[in-house]
Amino acid sequence: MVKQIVSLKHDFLPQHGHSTEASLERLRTLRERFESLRRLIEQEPNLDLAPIAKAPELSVVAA
Amino acid sequence: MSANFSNKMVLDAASSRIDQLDVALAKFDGLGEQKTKLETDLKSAQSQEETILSNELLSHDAGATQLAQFRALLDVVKRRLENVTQKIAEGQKAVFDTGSLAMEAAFSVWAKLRENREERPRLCSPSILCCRRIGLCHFAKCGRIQFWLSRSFH
Repeated sequence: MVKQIVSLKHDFLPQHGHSTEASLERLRTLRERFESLRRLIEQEPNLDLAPIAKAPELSVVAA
Repeated sequence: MSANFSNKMVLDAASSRIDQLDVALAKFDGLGEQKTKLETDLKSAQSQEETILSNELLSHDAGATQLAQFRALLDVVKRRLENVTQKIAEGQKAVFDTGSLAMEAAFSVWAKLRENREERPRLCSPSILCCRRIGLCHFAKCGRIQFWLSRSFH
């Protein structure tokens, strides 16, 4: 179960040492990768994201 | 608040960060297109300047007048190119700033998913619980296994 999603970690971490063009390309495809993650989240049983809702990067108020 | 509702809020908030990234990317791309056009205009103006200087059929006055016009045009294009280059640098910074926030938001969601998958087998798998004989207080975290516990430990 965990192994299935471990590789996704690198989809959402900045890749240091990459060229500017490569970094821009990764950002251009972020939505696509996030939508895949969203589908997994929506199918995940017993998952509550509420604890991270107040984190600054995900603050619903700030968004 | 139900988990589904709060999950949707969090996912929408992360998605909103990506919306902001897309806006920054669109602006950045638009500036890139402007720069390409200005570079083409600059080459064209430079070429026409050379043509005027080499044209011996023109009178001195006519040559000077045309040259002044094209050099003025060249100055305008050069300045606009400098401005757009500066804006591109700012636009790129905006892309990386908003991109960083969007990545952080997505990463937080991924981390919670991973945490959930790591916790699930540990807390809810009867076979694992049976082998490890974890303390009963630990079981209270997962209401669904109470029935199994009462059969296994009593």
